Amino acid sequence: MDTNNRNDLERKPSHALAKRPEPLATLVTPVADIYETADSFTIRLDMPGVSKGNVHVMAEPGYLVARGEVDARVHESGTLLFSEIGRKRYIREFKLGEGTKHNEIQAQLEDGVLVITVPKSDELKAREITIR
Amino acid sequence: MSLIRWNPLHELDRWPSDFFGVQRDINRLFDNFFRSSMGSEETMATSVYAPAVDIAEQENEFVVKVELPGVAKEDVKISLESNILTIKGEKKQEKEEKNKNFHRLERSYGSFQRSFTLPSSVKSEKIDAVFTNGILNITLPKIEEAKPKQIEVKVR
Repeated sequence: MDTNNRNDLERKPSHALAKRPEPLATLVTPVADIYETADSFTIRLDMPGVSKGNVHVMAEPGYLVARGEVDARVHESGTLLFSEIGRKRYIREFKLGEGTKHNEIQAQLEDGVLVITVPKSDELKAREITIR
Repeated sequence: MSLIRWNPLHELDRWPSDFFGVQRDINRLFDNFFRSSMGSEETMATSVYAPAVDIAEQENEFVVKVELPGVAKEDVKISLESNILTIKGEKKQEKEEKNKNFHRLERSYGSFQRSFTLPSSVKSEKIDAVFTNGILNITLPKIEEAKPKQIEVKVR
């Protein structure tokens, strides 16, 4: 139900945008699932319409940013009868805590979902202590 | 816990360049509020959500685009019944939930559905659908009679 309300709220402005000759891209914070496993953190970001060439993940100690731009060919020529997708740019920033290996981060795009894997450093990994 | 929690209020600083994003964040705050007050994860899993859609009319066809990131093509069903186009399906969560400790769960899972009434001028047997980068593209060709035609009128 929330989703419907949200769409109704956004329909009007996006219609207005769609009629401009060169519509401005809306900045969108993509929704994320974040989970932790024994040796890494995984971030899954919804970025529908983004292809491999249009996505950038940058990491430095303590900071990670993911950006993506929806492909131009997603926007069809012709008369838009119904417009909820619109032109979008995705951006989301994350703070990385100590104990993450920022230089070993891996990212891949799976069906419009950006999957970022942040490995944990050895100090952070859970370890079983042998009983002597 | 090594990742620091994302603070939605921090995003409010982007106003007004990020108007839609802010709106979404506010909605999300409320969503989270209601979710947590209702408690169970089941309400989340069983709720039906409506994916965002673009519909464009071109000279020879209608093009419908549906945002379905992370949805497998086997889990989407498209049907046309007396000019009502229905796109429905299910976004499944990954199976291996064991040994995963979730910090955030914002993406929607579960069933989705949207229906649209099409003009009667569509070749229903020629409808085609392709999945690209999480966007479902449905092409609905128009029947010949519905295509724009140039009629020449001779002036006497």
